[in-house]
Amino acid sequence: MTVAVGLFVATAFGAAACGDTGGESTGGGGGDGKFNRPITLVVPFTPGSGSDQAARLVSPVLEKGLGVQFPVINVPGATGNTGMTKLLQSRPSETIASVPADTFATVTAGTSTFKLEDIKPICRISLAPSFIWINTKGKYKSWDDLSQAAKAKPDTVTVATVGQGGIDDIMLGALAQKGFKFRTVPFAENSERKGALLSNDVDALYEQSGDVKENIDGGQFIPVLMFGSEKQKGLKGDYTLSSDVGVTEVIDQYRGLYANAKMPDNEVDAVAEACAAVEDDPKYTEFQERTLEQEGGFMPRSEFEAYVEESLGKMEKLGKQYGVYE
Amino acid sequence: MDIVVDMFNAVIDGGISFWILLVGGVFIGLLVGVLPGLTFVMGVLLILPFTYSMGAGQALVMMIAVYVAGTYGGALTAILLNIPGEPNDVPLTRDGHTMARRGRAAEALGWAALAALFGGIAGWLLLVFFSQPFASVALSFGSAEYFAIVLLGLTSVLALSGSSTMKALISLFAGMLLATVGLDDIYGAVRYDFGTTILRDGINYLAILVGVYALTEALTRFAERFAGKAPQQPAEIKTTIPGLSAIRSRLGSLTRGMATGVFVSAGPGAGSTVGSFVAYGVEKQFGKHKDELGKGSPSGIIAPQSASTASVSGALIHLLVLGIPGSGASAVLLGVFQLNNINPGPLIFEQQEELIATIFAGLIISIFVMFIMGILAAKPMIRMLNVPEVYVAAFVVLFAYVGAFALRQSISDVWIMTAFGVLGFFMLRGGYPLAPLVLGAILGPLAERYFTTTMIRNANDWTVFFTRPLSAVLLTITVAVFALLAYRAIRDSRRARAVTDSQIAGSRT
Repeated sequence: MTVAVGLFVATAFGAAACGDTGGESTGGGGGDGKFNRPITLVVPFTPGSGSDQAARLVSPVLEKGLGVQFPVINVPGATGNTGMTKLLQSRPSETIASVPADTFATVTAGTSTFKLEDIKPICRISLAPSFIWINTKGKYKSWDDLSQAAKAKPDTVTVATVGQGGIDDIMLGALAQKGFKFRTVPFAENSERKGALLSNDVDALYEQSGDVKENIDGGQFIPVLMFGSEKQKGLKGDYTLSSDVGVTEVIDQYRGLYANAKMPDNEVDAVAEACAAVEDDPKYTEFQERTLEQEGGFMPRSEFEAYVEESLGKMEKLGKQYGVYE
Repeated sequence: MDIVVDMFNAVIDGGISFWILLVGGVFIGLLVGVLPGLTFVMGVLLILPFTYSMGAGQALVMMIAVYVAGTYGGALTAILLNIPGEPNDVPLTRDGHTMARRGRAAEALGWAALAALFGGIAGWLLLVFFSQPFASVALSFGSAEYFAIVLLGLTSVLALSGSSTMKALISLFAGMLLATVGLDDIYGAVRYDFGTTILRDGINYLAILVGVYALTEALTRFAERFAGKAPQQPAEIKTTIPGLSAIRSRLGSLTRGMATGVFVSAGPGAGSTVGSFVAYGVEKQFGKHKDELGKGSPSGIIAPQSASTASVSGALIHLLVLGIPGSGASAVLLGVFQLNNINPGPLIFEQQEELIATIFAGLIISIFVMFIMGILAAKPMIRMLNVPEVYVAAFVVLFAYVGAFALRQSISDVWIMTAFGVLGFFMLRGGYPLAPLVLGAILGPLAERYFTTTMIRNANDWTVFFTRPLSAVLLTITVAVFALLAYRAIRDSRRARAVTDSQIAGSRT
């Protein structure tokens, strides 16, 4: 037993030696908006995900602008919350995160590990409308088919979504109020959601076009409804707009860069300034075109802070209105 | 046969760089596989930035080499040190390490290499010649079928139970319970966090794996003052490759392992870990050498290892034919396709013939290079057994901490790993097996996720598990396997107890 206790103490010291660089030290930032140490770019989702791909293209743009490295690390788990914990526990001047709107849905749902005041929005790097997709070899062939079935037999037509209480649920709640009540079936992984529609395990899928690009090109999926009032440039197909069925207030998916709230403002400004270059970066714009993201996805810090607050307010309001949040 | 000609052309066109990238990829795969905590998904990801300037073919050849070799590299440490480098290596520790402790390390490593080779070839043949029909079969799987497969994997707990079935089940349920900690993926509910951030982020099963194997092993051996093991002398090692007659006698294990790996990989996300556990359970149930399993049988290495490597191709079929990444590593490969403006899916075989030929050629050559490097590495690796264990333990502890931190760059995982290292130490002292704990932590969340999804999908109608034909068949097999394994496990533990009692009685007289 003495040996075991001794070993426990030794391993505890080992763990302490591995300790994170947490604390409030500014570290990489020189306090004048210039950086002299690498800044970790946290991606709170798995390697290969849309967030991961975008971050790996934004990283070299930031490196060029600020003259320091931006190594990307994946910290997946808990719908992005594990990554946010990593951001908040690291040195404020040495870490930023690339986060999608889905993670913020956990704030409005009350299950997040962070609060909005814990972070500072830096810039928005992408914007994408959401769609309902069907399998070309499935039971339903159009929005008319699908919506009529949902109307005739409420809660029987199934739609694969990202998880209960998310943006998907809110927007499908909006459709329910218009008489189209779908049964949402949550799948944690993007591959599982797509697989469920491919195998006709569900009738439809809620997703952004970039996440199903392979399936669009392969003729497997077609869009039947887009949440918005203007058709998406570059996406072919005879799909209905949600505004035409009475759903005008929508929540788009967006991805932004965020810093710890303790990062000095001049440093956040410096990163935000460097972030502006993504708009003209050929590799990044090519990625956006390929993944059918909306034009004008970039938003500077001056507008983004208000945008995030407004977006969260909208999630909360609509979530309550459609019975997703209590 | 056009595809074979195309593959030759791809290799010739690839030139020396093809070989450098491939051999380098295999080496990296073996390395990350060996190091506990560093997974092959991390290995694939680590080289991703270096592939930005390469063409799609070169990048994919290197990454596939890392992926395939990564499923085998961990077998080396699982066998030699009882430390699985990857989750799919956990079943190998039972028989592999027992063989190593009995001075049969070389033989065990040879079987692992051979199983990886055969599993890889079987998967490759499936990928090249039957990917379209396989994809069609895969599409008949829904969440109900995935649940049934995972349940089958969970029954392997009885194959891993050792002397006490009850203690194995307690260990399994503890693992399943621990995996529920944190934010749930489906409902977004926070469970068992006790108000702490460290628990709200969840307990990563890799932290459990590294803790209960790497750290626990070091602690246990330290507590024993590193006494009692008989290291094998390298001079005694003649060959590490099993002979033809030996292979013939284990052909059943090999075939079952490969078939299980291929079948299980039909479900996206199932991957090599589920395949490895299911294969071990199937071997314990149906194998010719089932009674030897757990006591240092080559079949306990062959079945899980061949299943692990065969599953790589299943994941690649999902990616190439359906556009769905079937595993963590293939999700990174999807990123490489997209960065090169290529969309995997049903049309890729027509639109990207050259690239497909390069991938096929890269995969099969990687499998052979992995086998050769594995065999060459065996002898120097076995020399590790001659290094005083105290030094090896020091490195194991070091890598355990580095690996735990590398999981999510989080100090929380380091603490969790430490806690499980200590827990594992006391579990072993109490006679509780560790493999079921890891099994529960890995498969528990998958079982919960597929069960919940199926129930939501079907308006809480549980009969769907029995009305879907494939699910019903899989569940029937699961129940049969569970019943038989339970019967055997109870019978064996009673026999063991009877022997002990008679020995005690004998010693008294």
